[in-house]
Amino acid sequence: MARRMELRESEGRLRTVTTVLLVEDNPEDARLAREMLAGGTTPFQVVHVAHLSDALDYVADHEIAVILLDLSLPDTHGLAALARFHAVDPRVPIVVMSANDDEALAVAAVREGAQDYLVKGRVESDLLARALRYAIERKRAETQLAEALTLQRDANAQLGRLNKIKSDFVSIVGHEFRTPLTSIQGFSEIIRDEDLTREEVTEYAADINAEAQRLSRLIDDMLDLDRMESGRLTLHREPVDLNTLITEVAGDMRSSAPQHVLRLDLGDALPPLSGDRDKLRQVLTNLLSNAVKYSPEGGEITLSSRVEGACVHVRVQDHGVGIPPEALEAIFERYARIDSDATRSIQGTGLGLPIVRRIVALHGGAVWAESAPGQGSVFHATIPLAGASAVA
Amino acid sequence: LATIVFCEDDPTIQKLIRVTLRTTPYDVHVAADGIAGLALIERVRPEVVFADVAMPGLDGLQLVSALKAGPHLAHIPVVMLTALVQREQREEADRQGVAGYLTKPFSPAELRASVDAFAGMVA
Repeated sequence: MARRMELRESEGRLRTVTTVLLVEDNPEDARLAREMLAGGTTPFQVVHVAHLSDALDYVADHEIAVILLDLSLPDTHGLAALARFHAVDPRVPIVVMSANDDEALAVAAVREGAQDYLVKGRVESDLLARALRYAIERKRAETQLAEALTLQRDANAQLGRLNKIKSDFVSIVGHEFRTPLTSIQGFSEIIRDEDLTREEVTEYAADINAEAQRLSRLIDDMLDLDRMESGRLTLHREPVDLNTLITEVAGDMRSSAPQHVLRLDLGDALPPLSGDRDKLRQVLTNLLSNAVKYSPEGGEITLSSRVEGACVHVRVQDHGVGIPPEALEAIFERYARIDSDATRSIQGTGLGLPIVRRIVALHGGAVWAESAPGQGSVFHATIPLAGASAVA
Repeated sequence: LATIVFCEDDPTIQKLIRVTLRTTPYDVHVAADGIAGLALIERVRPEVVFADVAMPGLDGLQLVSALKAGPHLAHIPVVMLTALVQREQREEADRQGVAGYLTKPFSPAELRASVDAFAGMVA
């Protein structure tokens, strides 16, 4: 049944009108060709032009099924016409109709892209119709193959890029993991192998513990970012008073970084926003700990909040080492820190800012940074008050 | 008494190096990055340098090139402390004239053995 349907469909396709562009300057030859095309079972619609230039214009502006081309025209001679058509539309099949019964020329014509080479006077109606139909089908198959090859090449190139990203990632992760592991392995062996005072044991155990926590944070950050990037992290929205959250995070930071002066400049009458409290806390913590990390000499850090339109605009300003202009965008990308001389010295997972950007984007907001090297940086985050959501 | 300079940006690993080598007969100096390391090397003229590959300012390989460029420092062997052990990077390091490698994570015994080997070799 299905087979019969297919057959009927293919017969139907053959019965639909096929437009042939007849390129022929000899009126008698053109008349003969028209007669042959009209005499067969395949219905052809014939468009006739006598000059190559007219034919090229026609091909450029119209959908035609096949070109029937005489090689000897007023404005061209020989196979050069094939390349001219190819330049205008490479998808249109060409059948050459020549007075010249020359095997070498026929082979050359096919090499130059002609689908067939017919000799005038040796063709009758059915043969011509079949030659044109086959030319159309062969060209269609060729075009599909070429498109498939292009798709395949693009897919291969994309795979190559993904593979490079993967191996860069593995190499960076390897580096990031080995640093805390070196301290863990080293200090644990010292505790095992050496005669230490009780104070030394306690001190080195604390170092091991801190490095183990760093490894653990690194893994958490990687998993978090992966969940956000693959869209598997959903926000638990509730009304959040951002000023209260800022005050809490600032309190934590004051105790862990006492050498920095932390100044809060909180806007009045900040309405509660709809957001994920834990995730927003992570945003503030990451921005603030960044400001601390990149201000090795201490210095004032200002955290401000303002309502601007339908958003809360949070600013975190430090007077630290600053960020070179070419890195202002890259710092929000995964592991950008590794590649930048200016920022590589700082301990951390390199994932803090990418996580900030993802969380803020999940809330429908935006983050960006302004900085001049040596003059500190300002990090901005805008978060919509209403529960607008966006694809991260 | 051989003098050794370490260039390592991770503070805990800096401490690990000091603790590991505190009972050895070497004069150990530590710099937190390549630029400070270069200045330290100029000043103390060590017998051997151990340098992290990934450092701010001047990375390990750039430090090696900088040493090779100055005739009075070119003879100082540099051992790379590295987590990055990809073949291309190692080939690049070999071309630059790196004397050896100590791969992270390393044990204190490995660090001491490596220091003995290089400091003893040049002493």
